[in-house]
Amino acid sequence: MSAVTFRVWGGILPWIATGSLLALVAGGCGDDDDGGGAPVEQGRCIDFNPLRNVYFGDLHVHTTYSFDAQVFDVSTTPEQAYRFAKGEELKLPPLGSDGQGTQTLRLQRPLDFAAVTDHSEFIGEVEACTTPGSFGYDSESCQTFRAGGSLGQTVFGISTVEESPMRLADVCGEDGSACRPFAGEVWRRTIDAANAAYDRSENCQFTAMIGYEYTANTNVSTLHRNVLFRNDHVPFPTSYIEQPTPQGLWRELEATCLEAGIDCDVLAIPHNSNESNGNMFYVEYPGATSLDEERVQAERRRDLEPVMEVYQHKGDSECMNGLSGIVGAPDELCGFEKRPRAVFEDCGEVPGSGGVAGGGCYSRLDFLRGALLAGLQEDARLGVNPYRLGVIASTDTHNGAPGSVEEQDFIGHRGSTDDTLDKRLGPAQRRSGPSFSPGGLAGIWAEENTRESLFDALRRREVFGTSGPRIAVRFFGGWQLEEDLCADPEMIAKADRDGVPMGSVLPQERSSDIAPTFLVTAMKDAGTEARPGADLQRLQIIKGWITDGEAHQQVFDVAGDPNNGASVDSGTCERVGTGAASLCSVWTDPDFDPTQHAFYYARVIENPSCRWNAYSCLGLTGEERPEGCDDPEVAKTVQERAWTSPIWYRPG
Amino acid sequence: MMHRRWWSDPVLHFILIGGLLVFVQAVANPGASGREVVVSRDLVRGLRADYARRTGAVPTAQEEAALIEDYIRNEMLYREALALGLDEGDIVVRRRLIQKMEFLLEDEEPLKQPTDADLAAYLRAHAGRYASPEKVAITHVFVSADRNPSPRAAARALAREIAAGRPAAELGNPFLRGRELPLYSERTLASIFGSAFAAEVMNLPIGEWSAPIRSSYGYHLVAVQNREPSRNAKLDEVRTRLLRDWRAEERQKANAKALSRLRAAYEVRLEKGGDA
Repeated sequence: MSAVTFRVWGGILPWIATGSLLALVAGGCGDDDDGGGAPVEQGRCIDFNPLRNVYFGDLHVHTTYSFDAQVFDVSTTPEQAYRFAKGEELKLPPLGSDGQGTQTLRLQRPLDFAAVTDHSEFIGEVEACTTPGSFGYDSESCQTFRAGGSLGQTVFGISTVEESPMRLADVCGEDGSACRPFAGEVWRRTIDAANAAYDRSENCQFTAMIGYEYTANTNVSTLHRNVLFRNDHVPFPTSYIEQPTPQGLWRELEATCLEAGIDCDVLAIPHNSNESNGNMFYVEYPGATSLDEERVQAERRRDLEPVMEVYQHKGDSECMNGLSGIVGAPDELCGFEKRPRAVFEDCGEVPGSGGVAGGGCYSRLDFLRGALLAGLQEDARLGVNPYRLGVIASTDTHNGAPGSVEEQDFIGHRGSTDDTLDKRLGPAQRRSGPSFSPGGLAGIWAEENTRESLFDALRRREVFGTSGPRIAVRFFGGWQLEEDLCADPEMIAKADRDGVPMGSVLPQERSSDIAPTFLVTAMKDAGTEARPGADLQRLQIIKGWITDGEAHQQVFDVAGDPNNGASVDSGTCERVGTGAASLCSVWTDPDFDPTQHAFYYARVIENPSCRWNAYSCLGLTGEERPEGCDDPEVAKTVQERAWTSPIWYRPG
Repeated sequence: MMHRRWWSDPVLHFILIGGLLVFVQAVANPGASGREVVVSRDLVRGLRADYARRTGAVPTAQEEAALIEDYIRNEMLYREALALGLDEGDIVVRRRLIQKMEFLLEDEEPLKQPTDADLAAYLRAHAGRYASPEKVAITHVFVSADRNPSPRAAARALAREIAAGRPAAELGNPFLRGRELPLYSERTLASIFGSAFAAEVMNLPIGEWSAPIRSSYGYHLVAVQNREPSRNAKLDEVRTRLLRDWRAEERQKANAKALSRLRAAYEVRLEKGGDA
């Protein structure tokens, strides 16, 4: 059984994956080129652009190394996932008699970047349980895991809701150490796959980033983060088992990466706050005994978590109407891709539990808008905003199929849980059902398509999310933006010179009688010849502000026409009517009050189009047609959209 | 040439692993073939601890009895399943074992380091895969379909102004992805403007303003500034990718060799007739 070489890394030594160490771990086969500690040149790509290009990708991707993908027959490796992102074909369940997937999937258009982010918690266990002869292979836990399905998943998954989680002794030994070499081996393969997929030529066609998912389900609520690195100088992954609090995750990322002196840089991306029952962005500073100590914690969070995921296959986390704590008219477009629960209950000021299982209460803090408002309140109180959050979207695919976001092509997101239309349209369940959707994409404005340039854009929040279409949107704010920018051929250069891009804080302004001005401009997705993109319906700016401690919101339509008459026939999926190919507006806040903390972000809305279920049901009749096709509770159309990162105003 | 050692023979590994599995099963489940289920004190302690770990509470006597009953039930079903050979027919278990064995085979055959000549030969054999596609750098004047009631006519009018000597930089509407684009392939241009536009632009001559070309956003007057023809890669430009791909292919060959050796140790009988 010595054929596979493992190297045990004990203690808390950071596990550094430079090229040379990788070669060691790989058994000395001499990997060569991964740029180890070589200095990074700026501008090595032919399309280097100081005003930034737009790139589209997926930063939330699970493969067979995730315990909750493997138990549902997903066998996609990280290597295959990256190949898929670059345009190659992928086989997915249901499995045929030869054990291979019987569904074939291929992207219409390759992605510019992707990151495989497997659950760090059990990568060692999964490998141990599938390696005959390992310490735990014959354990009851491994046998249950190999039997697969929800039971197999629960064997490990249950630990992520425990307050003092432990590794299973029958799989990993009494001290948990027997799984560690396996985890090291899987992590090495993950890094290798990313390095192999990364285009380091001057063409810069594709960037593969290195990361993993930290999976805390404290209170049975989703407190998940994707951890993403700037290069391949990366420590061994932190997991919930060793660090069961987000504060522990941040401390360990500081110790093993930021302060480890290994040229490592890292950020964490919270996601699925829509299932967190008010826990993800609950305002608390555990252990802090003074305002100063609270500030330290708030700064750490602000710096390590600059971006959240606003949308993915488990639904939208932008906003929800009817929750307490926010003053303002309801936002008609907040109904987008919500995951219904049996009972609607408002958490109010006290966090609840049960979101992971599709239950419990909803809180305004489960959504971007509530979190941004809480951030303003904290900024007013502490002078630090812990929730200065930019936004991206991604898929969270558990099929290893990054960027598979086209409604027409949706064949499920997690192996055998939803690999037939009957399952996808059957009664809503935790892991499948009609409220799931293909998920979205991350848009990044970066100088060039390299790991460093993309990472730096995430850090400065010059990023946006889309619900799938490749809508390009720019958003600038400033005190002296010219009013006729929309007609100026030098629009972007001037906006960049006179203002700040999305993700920034407006610079301090001395004069108190000027209101800030914003440029927002978007282009529809050109699509492909076979599937042209939908026209745009309108541009909006969403403002949030604090008056006397009270949180307010308002939505402004700033371009386009909500009553343009365009619609879609959900029986044929034919789009009727037209909208705009591009939209632009220079907008000044009519109610600006220089004493109020405020944020502004933009939303781009497409004309209506068919949701995945309407496409899947096209032409199905009689026996072939699942009942869900005609369920009035399931939306058949959707207004795809894009969300920008905000621009903030802080009183001087 | 490295001499192959008897203990690295994959056939032997296969037999050993098989034997090991049978052995472990026998040890782990004494009397698995029989009809005796032993509920030892250790076992009960384990069940209790497991319960506490999951629920945070010590099981009551009633709950403990239920746990034991559950264990007995599962144990019986598990043994019956084994007796029926269900583990053998399970494609999931089968697929995982096959995957594992493939991994083991992979590590059997050590790969040699390729020489430059090896890589050059590989590059020649797969020149198309490494060639860089034709690229053009363009400047364009954009006439937005949203801002002009008849964009095609407006674009024609701008073309006349350019012909009359007006600087193109002063003309047209702003285009979010820029006025001057660096060397891009047809694929990249298609992702920005749409595919019909990209196909047309690839065929334009250098240095001349085109007639209006339609995109997904309106009309464009396009001048190709620079063109880089498609060309084959040089060894040093793609060495990294070559090394990886060369290794992947050698790895595949080695695996095929190992498999055929394995095959030689098996007798395969193809039964004739019927495709049922």
